[in-house]
Amino acid sequence: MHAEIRARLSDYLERDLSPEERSRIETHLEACAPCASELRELRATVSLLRGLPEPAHPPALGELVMARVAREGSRPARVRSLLRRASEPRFAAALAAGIAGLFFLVPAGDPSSRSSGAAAPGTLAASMTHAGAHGGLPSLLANGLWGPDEPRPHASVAARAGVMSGATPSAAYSESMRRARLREVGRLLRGSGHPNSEALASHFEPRPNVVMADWHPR
Amino acid sequence: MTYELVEHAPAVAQMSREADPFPGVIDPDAELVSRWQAGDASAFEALVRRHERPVFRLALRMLGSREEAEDVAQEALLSLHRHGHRFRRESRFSTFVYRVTANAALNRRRTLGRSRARERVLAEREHGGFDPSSKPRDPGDAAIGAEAQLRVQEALQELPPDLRLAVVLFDIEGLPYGEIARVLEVPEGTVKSRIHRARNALRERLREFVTQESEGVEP
Repeated sequence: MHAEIRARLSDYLERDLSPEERSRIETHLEACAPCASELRELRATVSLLRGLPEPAHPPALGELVMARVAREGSRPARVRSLLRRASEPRFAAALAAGIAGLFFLVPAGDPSSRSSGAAAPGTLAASMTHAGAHGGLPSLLANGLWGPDEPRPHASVAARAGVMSGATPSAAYSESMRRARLREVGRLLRGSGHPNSEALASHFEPRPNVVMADWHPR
Repeated sequence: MTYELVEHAPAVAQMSREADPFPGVIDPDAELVSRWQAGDASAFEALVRRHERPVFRLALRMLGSREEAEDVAQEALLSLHRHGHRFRRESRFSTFVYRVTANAALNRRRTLGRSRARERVLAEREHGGFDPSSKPRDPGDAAIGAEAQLRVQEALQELPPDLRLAVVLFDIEGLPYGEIARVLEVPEGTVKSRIHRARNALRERLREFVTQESEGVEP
């Protein structure tokens, strides 16, 4: 009897009962202190839930959504579909492998395409791994040398492998951001403790007239 | 990050099959939806403005973290844009919006995992990201204190997702049983049962506040 009454207490509170059922429950509650107490607590619980205030609304939510809608709208449907597919779990492994592959290719190919020749290109990947063990560099590598709105030098390779990750190939290349990131790589290499860190870091000093966007893996 | 339930939402097809789910009820969004589906981008913006608050609120109550809720709210509103052509106006647009938001929040929760979701909530609480407000949602309700708000939000996070969704839609969003049943695609009886179970579980978890509140209240 008690269990049956207690199972209907929310319906009782919401007045979602026939007059006969309501009357039967009220008769029971008058005689049963534990059930009456449970009803009071249930009512207090509902009162707490309904007393939750309106949360502060993020002011730019609508603008951000409309900006993304505008960006998506400007992309061909095929690209939109590719981007969506790239975010699905079954593509996650390919995505991770592709990104890892790109970052192995970039350090090996980059220095040799530049004219300074300050250090042997073959040692760079090893030193970056070494620097990574000291923290800082892994996150830089994860974010890449390119910002979210900058074109990757190997964007076409990434696209073929289904590895588009939100980059906008048509976005203007940001020279100042590129230089800042190069300086950051140099700084991290200097602090890595590698025997050739100074030579390697100087290799990453930003120079004018070096167009990273044209670099290609060998 | 996956949104498979949103991307391939069976709810949309299901809603399309329903025969006149709202007899005699006029959808207040009907005109905007018609204009949007006819290609008027400004109509979609107006729909976003109209629904962004409930979308964010539901995401926040489901996830407990403002950062996650903002992200999920964006994804949900974007999903509306992507899949708007599938909405055939045979249910209220708001039902469709709640459904898409609920799926996005559940998917995010699944992706995060229970322990990571809890870590996010605790981190936000520690760094002041939680923003208890003294302004009641409904002017007729008395606002509860900041500590009680935190405890209610935490207790909600401890509920199983199906119970949490039902009680949030009913007691916080104020949706009627029938609309919740359409959002969740379950019978009304199941909705009522979930709400009651959720309230009972919350009653146990919020005993310290519930006992204070219930004192002096007539049965």
